[in-house]
Amino acid sequence: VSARAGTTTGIDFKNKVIHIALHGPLTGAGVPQNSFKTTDHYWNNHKLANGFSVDAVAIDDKYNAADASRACNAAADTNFLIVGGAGTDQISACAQSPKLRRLHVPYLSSGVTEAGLGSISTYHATSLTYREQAPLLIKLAKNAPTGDEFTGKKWAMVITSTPNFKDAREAFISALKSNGAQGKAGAFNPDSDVYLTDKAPSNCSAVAPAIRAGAYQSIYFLGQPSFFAQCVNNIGVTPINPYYTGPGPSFGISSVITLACTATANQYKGVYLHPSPSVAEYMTRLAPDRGPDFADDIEFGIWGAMQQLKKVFDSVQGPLSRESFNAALDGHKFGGYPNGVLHPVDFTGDRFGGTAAYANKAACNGEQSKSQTVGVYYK
Amino acid sequence: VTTEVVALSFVAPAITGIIQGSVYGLLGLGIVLLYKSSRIFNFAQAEFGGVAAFVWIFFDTGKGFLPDLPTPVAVLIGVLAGVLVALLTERVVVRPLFNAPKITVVVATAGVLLLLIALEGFTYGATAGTFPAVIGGDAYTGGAGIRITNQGVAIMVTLAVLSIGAALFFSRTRIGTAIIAVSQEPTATRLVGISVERISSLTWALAGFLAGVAGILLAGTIGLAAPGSLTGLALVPAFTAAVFGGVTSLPGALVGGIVIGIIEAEAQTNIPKEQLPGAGKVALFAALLVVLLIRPAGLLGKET
Repeated sequence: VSARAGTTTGIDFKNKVIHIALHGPLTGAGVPQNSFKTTDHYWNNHKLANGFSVDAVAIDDKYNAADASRACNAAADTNFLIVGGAGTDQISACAQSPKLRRLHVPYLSSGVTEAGLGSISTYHATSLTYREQAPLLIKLAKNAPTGDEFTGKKWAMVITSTPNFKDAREAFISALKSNGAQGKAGAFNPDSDVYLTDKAPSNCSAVAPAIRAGAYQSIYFLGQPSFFAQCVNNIGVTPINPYYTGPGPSFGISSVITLACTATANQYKGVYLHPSPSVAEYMTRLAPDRGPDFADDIEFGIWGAMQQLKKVFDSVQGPLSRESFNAALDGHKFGGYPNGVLHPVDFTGDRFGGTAAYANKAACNGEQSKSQTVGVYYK
Repeated sequence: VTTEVVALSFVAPAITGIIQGSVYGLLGLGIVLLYKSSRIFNFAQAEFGGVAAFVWIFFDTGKGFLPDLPTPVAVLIGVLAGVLVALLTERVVVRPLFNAPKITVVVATAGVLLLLIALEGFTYGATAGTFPAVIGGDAYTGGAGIRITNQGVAIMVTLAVLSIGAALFFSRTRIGTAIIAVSQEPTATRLVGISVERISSLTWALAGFLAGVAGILLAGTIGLAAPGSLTGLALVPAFTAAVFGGVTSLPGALVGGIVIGIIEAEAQTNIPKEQLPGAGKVALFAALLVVLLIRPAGLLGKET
């Protein structure tokens, strides 16, 4: 590594291979995704414009911030860049890792919190953050694209107590208020339009009766999948069968939908914002000249991240290094994928590059539950 | 509004606590049963239930080469799996250690626990998965958001039936009397022609049955389980329930389980996390401490 060339850790010049890592919950209690293990399948052997190919490895963060930090720090020694697969706390822990920042390791993830991340020169979010999604979620509810009672008149917000969800929580309450919600978000009051809790026990035992008593038909949920599954189970479908929504891809992953569908005997209703369309929508948009088939939207997301990374690699000016890669991201805009399969990413204003999100609705079918796209929402 | 808030703060968590506590009670019954018969605490008790739950879901969903069976049949196979692992534990681990110090056997059951978690991870994967309610639907939905599921009713009824059955078994049957005799004086019991080995197997099979029923009901109530999660969720409360009620008392395990469940749920609901993180578990141990200070043998236990 020379000062002039920049940091080239993770680049095998002899074999023309760039090593990169993606962290996600391969194991652990947070509903880990086997699909993360397909990372090498979708990324490896992709030829870049500079003649290099990519060698990607999926590393296990066990859906835990401490494990994520350890995994990222270890991966920084041998990989050129790191991609955050899932989990706000895990992504935040890796993005803010002093070691990653010191070594200039490019770190990219889906948009999550903005807290503490906007000023990190090595971090870039490739989709809308939770704060950016808040007004879009209200639009989504008002449009009622699902054709039923999801109008967002009375909202319960069930949020895990973590500082990383503070901006999401405040942005959504603000969006609700600007759309006429009455009452103070806080302690339970059935007359209030908004019921907010970030103090729920892991099984939602105290929250579920409050949601039923207040007849909150729309639930903004932000928490890990196992918490989500237990809450859906405890809230049930009678006397109200609420609509679930929220920012980020958490609700989109097939396994999470499957959890909720199972917990409600396939009566679960959920519509959420997601960086990419449902797998079914992707098939339609690209048919007949479509790419690979995907088992679920995690695999799709991994494939999508590769498409975006490829564009960045191809746009690097001068010798490839961690510094030149970061410079290629900062202040630049990248086009989407044909037919709107992936939205453009725009870092001209800040490091949160998301420009739009798809509204995907859960479709319970009793076996492998999926999602279907019901709209697109632009920032 | 005030009535609704009071109902939400106290009545709703009490109902949750009774249902959750009934599962603790079921597991506690098995723990007390083994303690009464052999004077050991079985650390693998909750995981016998975990094995039952995973075997149930394997057959309920037709995992791999296994047939996709109707739920009642899959549940029955799951419970039998709980009995089988308990019997194997007794035959392979406990019986060879009959004459070893009790602490050795207790540690050996902890080893069995770790082995079972590893086996679950090997067959199911190191991942969490869904477990549907064995009996779906709601038995009651009423004011203040109170909801009692059919599964919750099934848990309470099961606990009541099994605890009454266990009490009658020990007080009214020859085999029940034999189990107690073996625990109190194995040599004399052997001299009067009772097979200590057979009684030991029977006791472990009963404990496995109770754990199997509890594990399947608990996994279906939570809706989500991973290898080892039933131990993480229920073993300590079940031990606490057993000690709380009096570790030699079967009705004590029942009462202890329900009381522990209510205390945990009320504390979780009404004590803010900011003031006391993990309020449910803290309240549970505080209550146990108070009971043991006032009544060392537990609520319904007798000094032996």
